[in-house]
Amino acid sequence: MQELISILKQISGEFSTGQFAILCSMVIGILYFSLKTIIVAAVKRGVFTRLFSSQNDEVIEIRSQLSELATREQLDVAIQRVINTLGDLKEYAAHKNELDTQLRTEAAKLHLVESANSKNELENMSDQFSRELTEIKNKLDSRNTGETNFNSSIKDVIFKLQEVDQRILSHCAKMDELARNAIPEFRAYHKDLSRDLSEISRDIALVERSIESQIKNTNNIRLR
Amino acid sequence: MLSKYKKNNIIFRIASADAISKFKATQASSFVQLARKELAFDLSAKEVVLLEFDRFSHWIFTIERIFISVGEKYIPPYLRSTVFDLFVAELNVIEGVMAAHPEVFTTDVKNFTKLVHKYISDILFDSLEEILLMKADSAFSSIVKQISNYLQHLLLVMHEFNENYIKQSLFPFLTASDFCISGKSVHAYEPILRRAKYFIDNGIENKFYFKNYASLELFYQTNTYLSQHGINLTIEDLTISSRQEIIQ
Repeated sequence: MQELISILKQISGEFSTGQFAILCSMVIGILYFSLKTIIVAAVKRGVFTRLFSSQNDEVIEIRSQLSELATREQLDVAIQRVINTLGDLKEYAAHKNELDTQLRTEAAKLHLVESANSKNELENMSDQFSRELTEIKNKLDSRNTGETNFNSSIKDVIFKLQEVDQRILSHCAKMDELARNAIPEFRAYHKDLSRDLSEISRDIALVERSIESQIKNTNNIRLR
Repeated sequence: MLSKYKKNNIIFRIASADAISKFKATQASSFVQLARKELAFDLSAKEVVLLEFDRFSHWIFTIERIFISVGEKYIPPYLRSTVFDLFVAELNVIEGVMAAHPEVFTTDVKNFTKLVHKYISDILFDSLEEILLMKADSAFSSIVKQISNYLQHLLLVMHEFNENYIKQSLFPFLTASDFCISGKSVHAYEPILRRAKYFIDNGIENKFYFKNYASLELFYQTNTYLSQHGINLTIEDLTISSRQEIIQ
């Protein structure tokens, strides 16, 4: 710095003040533009980036190391929590199986009770149906074909029979649903019952057709 | 090229529709009898009645088409022969079907049906000869009525066969109907005698109850004729009939 000042004093002694100012401005200008050019070129070449990025990489590395450490810790915790939860689940599953078995037994009992109730109802309806059929038979045997009251009373009986048949059939559908839970003995019984009920439906249809036909065709033969 | 459209004979159409509807009502009523559980009709016997109703329904519709072509006139001789030929063909078809299906039609029911066909052919031929001299509409109605009467007679004789032969009833019986006594070339009570002989030849005792389904009282005349051939006839006891129903 001392040498620079003595050089500047020596130069200023050889030039006038105005000339010295112009000379200094020129030097400063040249230095400024040169420096600017150098800086621009350096930025273009990424000199500064490399200078700073090397620092950034270190930060990033440090950060990732830190986060890795944190994640691992969290993972361990997470794994432990999962292990604990699995243990809980196993206990729960064991308990659930026990509950399920209990439930199935209870459901089976319930089904048996429901099916027994349905069966009783069905037997009651079958008895009623038999009574209605006997009534028809008695009316047919004692009929006087001139009676118009006969026709309407027979139609009433047919209507009642159809109602009973519908109730029987809807009971059968209900029992179908119960039987789907596959108690083998009940399933076999249910099949027989379904078959019997189909026959009853067929018999009702036959009785209805017979009565209709006999009402209309009173001149035709009745076998005895 | 389309054939010329033949305008409908409305009078014939009315008559044929009415006749066929009555036939179908008789068919329904007969099938109701077959379906009665207390009668317990054997499958063979039941199927004979069903088959004959089916075939003669078909025959009636064929005859209807033939008679429509006649219009309002009398039936020409060549068509009368056709009616006879078609009737015989129908009986042959029935017997052919029965022979072809021994799993349904037993030998006994086939033999009994053939016996019935023999005398009913004579009865129907006699009636057809008179009927076919009428105008087409009247002839058709009468033919259908006569076939209807025959098929009801068939129901009765199959009822006899079912009770006497198949079920070996304690109270074998013979029936009489207006149809079976209407023949001219065959004696009025000959059909009843032939059936009685069939049952006797197949192990049934020569004592029968008499169930009269005819419009007239026939017991005395039938009994007189049958007793000449060693067959005892007793008038139907209606209390026995009701006891039979209870047993069944």
